Amino acid sequence: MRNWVVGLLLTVAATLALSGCKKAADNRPKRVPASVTVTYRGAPVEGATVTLHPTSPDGRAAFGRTNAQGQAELGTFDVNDGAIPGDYNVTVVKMEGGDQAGETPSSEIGAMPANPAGGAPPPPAAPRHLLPAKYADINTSGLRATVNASGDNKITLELTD
Amino acid sequence: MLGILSMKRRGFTLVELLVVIAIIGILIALLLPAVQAAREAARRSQCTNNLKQLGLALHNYHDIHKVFVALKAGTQGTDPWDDGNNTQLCGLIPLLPFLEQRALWDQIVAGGTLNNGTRVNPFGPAAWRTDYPPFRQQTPALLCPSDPAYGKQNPASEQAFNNYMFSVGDHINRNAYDRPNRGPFAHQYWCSFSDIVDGSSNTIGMVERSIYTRSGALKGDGVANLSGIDQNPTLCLATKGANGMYASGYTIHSEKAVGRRWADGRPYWNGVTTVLPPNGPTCLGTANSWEWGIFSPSSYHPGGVNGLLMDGSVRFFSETIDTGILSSPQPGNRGGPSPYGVWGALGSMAGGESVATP
Repeated sequence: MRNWVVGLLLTVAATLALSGCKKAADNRPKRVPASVTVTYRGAPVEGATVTLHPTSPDGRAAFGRTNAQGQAELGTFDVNDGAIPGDYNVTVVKMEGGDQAGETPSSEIGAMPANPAGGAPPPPAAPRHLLPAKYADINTSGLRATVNASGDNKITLELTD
Repeated sequence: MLGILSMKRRGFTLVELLVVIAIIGILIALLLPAVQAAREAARRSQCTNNLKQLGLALHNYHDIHKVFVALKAGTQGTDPWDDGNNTQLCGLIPLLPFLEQRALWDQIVAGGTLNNGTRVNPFGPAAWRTDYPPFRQQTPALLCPSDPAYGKQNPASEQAFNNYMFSVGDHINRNAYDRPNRGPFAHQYWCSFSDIVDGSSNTIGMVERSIYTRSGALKGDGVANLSGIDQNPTLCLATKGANGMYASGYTIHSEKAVGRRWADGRPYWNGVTTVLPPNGPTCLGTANSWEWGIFSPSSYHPGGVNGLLMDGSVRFFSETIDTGILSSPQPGNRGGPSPYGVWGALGSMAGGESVATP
């Protein structure tokens, strides 16, 4: 009878040992939850992409896309996974919803210039900025943010003309 | 003596039988998931082998021609592109003789006819055409068995499929027609070992990408007309939505042919960038599929993709690989370190970064 008990115990131990074979731990820098609220002329901005550019070369950029309330959870390696504590320069971009009016199907003539390397390709109609363009450029946006390792990270960006 | 032994023999008790059955049950429960994992491991192994064969083909091609294949090159032509492939013929086609597909190569070199009997010049009609029989013939070595599109090609109406894409490196703007790109493969550009200054064992040559199967899915589909991604790739990373789909509010490109046009060398169909990590989103910088963008590798293997380095070795790249500062603008065409971490450094052939292959 004792042998049975030992056998059972061994089986249970093996089960536990094997169930430990899970995927590797996330060894990337630790992120803390952070959210951002964007308003333009006092009204919330929907569908703007906020980018946090790290000021330190060891930092990592964080990003988020605002919802109807103008709020976005920030993510670094994946959507909504938080931001790495540190100082950031911030840019905000909202483009005219990437419409495909200018699209040439590749099955049609003129899909590609015969020798595009020889001459510049036809300039595509650039989508238009829906927020002041200065906020899209890190050198002109003038927006700053700090993400703290502890505490609430609620960043508010009030955009004006 | 015999009598004593036979006295001791008895049947099993009910408890003993139940315990034995329970143990067998536990063992099977342990084994079944392992069998499923073993199946995927076998498919991944075949997938790795295919990539290795492509690496050998590239090296054999280089032995003979002293250069690697171009991302795309070919003949000129005129509307309606029956007479030439518009310099779009994918680099996979010159590799055919080195993948034991000489017969198919010979057919394409000979030209032949379209479905409607029109005679075409050597190297075929426009590379996107499906009415040219050699473009519809599947080369088995170009398919990864883990991909759900495996074996789903309709040889009557579709081009052959391909899972293995040429790397243009950490190059975004104009990566469909710059020459060279920061990676080894570019439009009408034939790089050689001497161009790979970073060292062939530190430079990615080809990576897997999933074939299109589902509209709006990160694997196999792409966002159109997302401007500014060459200055700030996080704009593309932000298109990632829940459950492996793109977030709402983005325009998904209307042409659905990633991995389904093996003869067409444009990077949206047969290229990858090493900017966003494996299994990330794909975004076109303009409205057109023939132009540039971020083309992220992807696969159905758990946790990453297989990649071929230019020395012919195959590595598995995790989707958590370091991608550096993704808000940085794309670096210049030639030289200069990559801002996109280990992943970007492995993609560039002359970045001058010192990286340890993960």
